[in-house]
Amino acid sequence: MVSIVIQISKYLLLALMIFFTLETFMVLRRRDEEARRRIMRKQIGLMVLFNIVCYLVMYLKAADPLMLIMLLSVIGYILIVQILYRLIYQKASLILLNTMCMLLSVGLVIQTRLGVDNARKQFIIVAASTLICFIIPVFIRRVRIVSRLSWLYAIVGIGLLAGVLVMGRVTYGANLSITIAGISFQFSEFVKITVVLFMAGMLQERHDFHQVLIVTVIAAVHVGILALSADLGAALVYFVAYIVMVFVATRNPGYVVLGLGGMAGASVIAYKLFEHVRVRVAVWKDPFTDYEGTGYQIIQALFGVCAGGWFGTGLMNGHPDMIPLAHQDFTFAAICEEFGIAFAICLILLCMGMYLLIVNISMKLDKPFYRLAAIGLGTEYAFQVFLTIGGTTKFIPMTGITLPLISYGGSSIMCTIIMISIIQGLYIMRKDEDAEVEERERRQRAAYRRSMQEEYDRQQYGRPSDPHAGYPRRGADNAPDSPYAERNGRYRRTDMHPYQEYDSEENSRRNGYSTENDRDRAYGNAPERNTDELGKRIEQQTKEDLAFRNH
Amino acid sequence: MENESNSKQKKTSRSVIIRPYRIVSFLSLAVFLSLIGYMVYFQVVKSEELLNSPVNKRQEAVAEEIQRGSILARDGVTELAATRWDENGNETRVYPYGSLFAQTVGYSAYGGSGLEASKNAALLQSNASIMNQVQKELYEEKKPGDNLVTTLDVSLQQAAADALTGQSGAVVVMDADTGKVLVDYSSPAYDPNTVTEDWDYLTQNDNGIFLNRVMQGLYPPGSTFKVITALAYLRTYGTFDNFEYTCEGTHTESDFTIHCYGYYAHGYENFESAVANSCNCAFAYMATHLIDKDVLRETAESFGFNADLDTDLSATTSEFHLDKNTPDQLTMQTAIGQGDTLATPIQMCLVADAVANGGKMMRPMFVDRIVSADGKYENEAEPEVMREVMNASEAENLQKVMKAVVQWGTAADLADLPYDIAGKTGTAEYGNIEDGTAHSWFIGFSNTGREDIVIAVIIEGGGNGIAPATQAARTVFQTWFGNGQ
Repeated sequence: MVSIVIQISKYLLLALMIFFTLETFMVLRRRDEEARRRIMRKQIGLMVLFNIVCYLVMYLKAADPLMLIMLLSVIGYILIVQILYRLIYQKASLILLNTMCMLLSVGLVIQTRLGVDNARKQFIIVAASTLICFIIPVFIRRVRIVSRLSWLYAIVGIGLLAGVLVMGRVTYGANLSITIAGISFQFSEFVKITVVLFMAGMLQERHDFHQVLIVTVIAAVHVGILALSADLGAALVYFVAYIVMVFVATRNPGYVVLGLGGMAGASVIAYKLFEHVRVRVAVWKDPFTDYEGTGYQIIQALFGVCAGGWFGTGLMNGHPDMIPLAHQDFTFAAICEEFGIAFAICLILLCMGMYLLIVNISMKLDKPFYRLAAIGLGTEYAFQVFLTIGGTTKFIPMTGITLPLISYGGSSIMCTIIMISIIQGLYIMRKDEDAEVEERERRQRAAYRRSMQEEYDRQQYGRPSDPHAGYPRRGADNAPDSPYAERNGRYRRTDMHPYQEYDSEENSRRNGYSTENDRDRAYGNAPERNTDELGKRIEQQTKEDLAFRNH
Repeated sequence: MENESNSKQKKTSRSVIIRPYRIVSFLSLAVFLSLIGYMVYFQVVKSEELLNSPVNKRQEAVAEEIQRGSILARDGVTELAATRWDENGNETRVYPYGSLFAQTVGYSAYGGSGLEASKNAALLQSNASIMNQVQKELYEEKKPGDNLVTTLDVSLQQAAADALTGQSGAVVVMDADTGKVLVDYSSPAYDPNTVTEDWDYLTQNDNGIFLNRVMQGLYPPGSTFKVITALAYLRTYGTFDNFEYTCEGTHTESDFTIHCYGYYAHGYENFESAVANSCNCAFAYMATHLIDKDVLRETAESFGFNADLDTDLSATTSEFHLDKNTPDQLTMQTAIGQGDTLATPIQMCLVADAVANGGKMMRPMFVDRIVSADGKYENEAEPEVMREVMNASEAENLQKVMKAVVQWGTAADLADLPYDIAGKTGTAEYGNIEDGTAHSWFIGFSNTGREDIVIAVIIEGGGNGIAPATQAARTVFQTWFGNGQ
């Protein structure tokens, strides 16, 4: 009986996944804010349903009450994060948040299926990281100095990598990690972030040959240390982020050609130099020549990938336990087996959607530093996905890297959440900057108008206009009973001194005017729709004039 | 005004800034889509091979939920392998015909062999109706796996086995039009019912008892290869008419002498008599003077030499080597199927098939269809032309000379059969020439216009005295067509 439920559930889960994926791409295309919000609310429903079905099926099969606890925790996490973001960061990219939550859900389900203990640990890390990362957007807004600390990032990054390399040498072959409170930290994950910030800082203003050369040398040191510590996957991820960032900063494809040429050369050298590289390539070419030795892992993973066919065996119905490292490097094979190839393709599309979203966000950012940081972090995410999935399915040689947000791994999941939070922070700030740009232009217009007014006054009264001349009028315009003051929330704060309102930068956030419509109005893209509109604009102008005069 | 032009300038520079971002997103799109494309390719093309891999332990786990399907003869009823239950509920795999289909059907223990291994995934999937499956599910019974209907013919296989009694060798018979394999018999054989009990003994046997000689035995093709040399001649000259040669029993080129069987001098020959007599000297002369070596190699390769054969059972690749620098000594040997040439019986059977079939070589097939246990689902395999080796007139010319072989040539033992048969015998020397050891070959086909068959027989070490391969072929033809009445 249970297995009939499992059989039905696998089609249901696939349908949920397909809907979710489609909606992610629909949001990417939709311009209408209300429609976007509707879709994103629907996605939350799909996510919750997905988790309910998964954990119930697992509960039915395993009869383990822990499954229900996991279910409640995950749903609680999703709802709390969604609510908190809506309360604190209204301007965050909710679609990025949704996609992240869905990928985390899939990850936690497959981790629970492979071992509840690991899943519980993973959940705690996810929840804690998300909570801590709530301060990142604020941090980015407040601490503008982050874009000036390039060399600090480089020193910290290289220091961490080199330190662990030396420590690893001393303790014979220890991995690039240290263990704190039962959770192992891999520094190459953290350095992923610092190396991007370093490159973004270096390339934000100048990107002449000299500057690119400096960046190249420092990046090469990072990559070189990783190659020496046999962490080829991470080395490749850094390298691709470097290529992409140099390309978008310089807009010169020549660097890409040079970079790829350099990589080809380095690959050949690595192949000649390192035994483990040769082994990986040989295994990739034909894993069956040594199927009990070096080829064993990848062969078992491939058996897993094809075991379920298009629709999978159904949750708890396959044998992902036969895949070595199923919860880490080969999570994708376990997903293919139980959820099916069709689901796995949706998952790839979702990861792709995530990257396209990030590139989209980075395109809209104004400051080069933020733009570069966003695309750099996004590229690291995307390329990591490509390396893992390509490696698991033998599309490319295995590099021993985990699937971000899905595979088990404390530092990996923490760093990915940090990366996404940074991007959220940049996105929120960009929305604020929109408001600032608006503000600046308004000021210019006001200044122009004032100079005209002064001219007029001089002609009329033969003296420069009195800066305080406007005061009596202000009270009348902003009286609480004024119809405009009521209709437009942003003028509610009549108690405030007018110039304060436009001088402090956080006001725009507090007042939260950032929807497309508002911007159109402010830029005058939709002129004089009706008298209300016109009235509002006149009022605004007057207010600004006053603010300046008072200044 | 100034404001406007300023913002315009800003706009263009912005689009320049954004362009590389767009390029990056398109590139990433391409990378991800290629990954998805690969996943689809993986599922459609590669997954079956992986599912059937002998090291895939996962299928054993599946076997706990599905009762392995039966392997049936081509009538769709006769069981060649089936799953049975004893009183204690223990599952066993039985092979009612014992050693008759040992290498073809194979066994399922120890990772399996034959069709049991190569079609493992099909036997362990259930396409029975949903109702049927739900019912089994409710009673907590195993679901019935799909059945495999092979192309194999039990009585013909038995005839081939009888003809090979006491000898090592192989017989392969195919339906000429479709490539369906009716007989795939390899001797010596073992009993797959007791393979686990006999394992130690069988694995110590150095007689190649597990080897499916039809698919994996490599032998020098001997004179049966002359069919290929003949086609190379035909490709060069377009006709056999202008060929003439006087055989004196030996032929010498560059101080190396080749001789006809028993140093027999065949005298004046045209092409037909050279083939019918299986005259080594004529073909040695042909290869050294009349045919370009590259043409001969290309002809052999057009028949499938040096290329992998992709069928339901794994096959060894037949080998042929010849180029411009090959010395005359080796060229002469190569032309008569000795030298470095090695062929599997299925390869030589396919050579005969191409001739019989007007130049079209069919892909050999062992599985006719996969049928669900309740018979409602059927997946039929389609016959497929594997190679177009020659045109119809070339095939007709070759048929004519191969008919002469049966009518009055080296296979005249078959001349009394009351239906058209064409063929080519072969005596393939192996090992130390001084010992005079040789394999006996026969390849041929019937030409009755209805249910025609193609055959290849090899009997190891049977090359001296009477040609035992031709006798075995006779038994097969008689079983297939009746005794002529």
